[in-house]
Amino acid sequence: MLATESAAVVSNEQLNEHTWLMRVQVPAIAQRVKPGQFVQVRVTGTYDPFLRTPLSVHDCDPTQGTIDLLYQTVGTSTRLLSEYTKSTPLNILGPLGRGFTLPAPASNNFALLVAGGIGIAPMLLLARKLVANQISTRLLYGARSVSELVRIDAFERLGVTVACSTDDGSYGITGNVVDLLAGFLQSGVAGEIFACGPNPMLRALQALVREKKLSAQLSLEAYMACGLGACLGCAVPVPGGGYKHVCTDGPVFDEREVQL
Amino acid sequence: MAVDLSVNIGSLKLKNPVLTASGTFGYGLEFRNFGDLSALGGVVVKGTTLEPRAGNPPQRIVETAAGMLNSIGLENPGVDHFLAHYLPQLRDLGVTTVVNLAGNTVEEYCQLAARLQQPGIAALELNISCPNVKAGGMAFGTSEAAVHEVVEQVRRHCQLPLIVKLSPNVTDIARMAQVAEAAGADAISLINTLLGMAVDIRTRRPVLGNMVGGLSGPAIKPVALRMVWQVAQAVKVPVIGMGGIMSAEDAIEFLLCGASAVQIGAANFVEPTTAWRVIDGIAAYLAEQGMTSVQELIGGLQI
Repeated sequence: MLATESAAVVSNEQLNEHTWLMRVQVPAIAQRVKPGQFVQVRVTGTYDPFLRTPLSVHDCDPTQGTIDLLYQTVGTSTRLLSEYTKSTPLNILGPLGRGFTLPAPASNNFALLVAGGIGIAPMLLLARKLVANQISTRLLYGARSVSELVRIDAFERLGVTVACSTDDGSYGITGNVVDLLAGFLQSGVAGEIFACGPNPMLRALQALVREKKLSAQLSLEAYMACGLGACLGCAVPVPGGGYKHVCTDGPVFDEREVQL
Repeated sequence: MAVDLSVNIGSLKLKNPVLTASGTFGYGLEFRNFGDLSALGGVVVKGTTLEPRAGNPPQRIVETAAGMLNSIGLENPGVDHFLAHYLPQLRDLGVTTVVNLAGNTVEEYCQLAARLQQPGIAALELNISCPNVKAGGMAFGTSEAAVHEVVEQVRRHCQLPLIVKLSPNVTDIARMAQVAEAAGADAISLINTLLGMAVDIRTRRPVLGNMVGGLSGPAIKPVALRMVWQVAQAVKVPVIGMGGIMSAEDAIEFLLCGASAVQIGAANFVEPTTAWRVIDGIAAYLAEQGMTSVQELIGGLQI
């Protein structure tokens, strides 16, 4: 049963200039959330900001009944969210959307997680499930600069191999994460690709996997109002015309389903 | 003491005066986890057209101060899909279903109305006020002659109660309501969204793919309330009020201004249980005021 849930803020920690990590107590959601799903956070009880904020679930602990949200302060809602403390009530709707499709447990499959910028958000819970399913998992992670790379230690603690790229060369290879992926694919190791990041990155990644005849699952972001399939605001074009909706058809799509 | 929440919209009897507005509640089914759909006064389904429509290019939504702009562009799977797929489910759930219909031409409106004379449909809402499509929609709702023509023609194909949804993007809303009434409308619903715009100063482009879109949410409530009040005084048919209703208190304001029922719109996006909470809140207000029927509230504004 989908419901809105009153949430208690457990912690809200600033990781760099614009990135925050919030842990909230939402037992019902923590029990049911799957990698790649998102929640709709109501930041205030007032009408401004008006809409809920869609955030992917970064991690979850069903035993403690908590989920983690990794977010950037890009607008009024997220700026307000960054000021939240333990005493501030929140309301969270979820879990929403179709998440990642995971390979069969203990299969010989190999998972390649590709994240650009805040696209790292849905990857930790995905990595946790993959590792638990004994799927060998590697993270390719790109950002503009070293200061924007966050949570690498959390992946390494899971036993995930991490390789990075930065636009300014301050950490890892110089370039973007699709360059990093292209380089990695040279090695001839093909795995399931799971990607999340800004649209230009996903477009480049889509071109690359098509050229290499690989498959990929893309987690998309879109402006949305309801998150429930009612407003039809979060349209993403599909090949041959028409649209799918990020909230209910996605946010994770097979790359062949969407025209970025 | 139990209060009577039932209202009549012409020959349409509603168990309570709270409906959900077209385009904000899907086909109702998207919200069935949040409450009993049959307990609502009614569900006005997504604007339905003769042929499927893909809708407008993204970006379709932008948040604004105490509201939002949308330019969805009437994306819907078409009337045949609605009748085959959604209507049977709504009928099984006992939902009071109102179908919002939109066309490119008067003939399309008439064909649609004829197709929709079906068991399980309680009423039709004629959408002549969508601001986000090039042909039809608001083009029909902003000229007296066009309003008269489309309402009069559709009336001939419609035995069901016919609600005409007006655009607020006109000079004299009361006049438009009178034209719709004279042409055969059984009820008037208002307001659709106010045409608006948002600009991104970094890219120096309009935020919405369609350049302009419809403003909804609490930001428009005072305008909606004023228009409902003006229309309620100008026509004899019942008025259904909407525009920024977030709470029972908001809904009661519309009832006092002469609305016989209200629709909940953008609030559904923010708090999916709003419609049910508004029903409960109206009942509580009536009990608190010592009133036995919601009908005592309608038009009860003291001037």
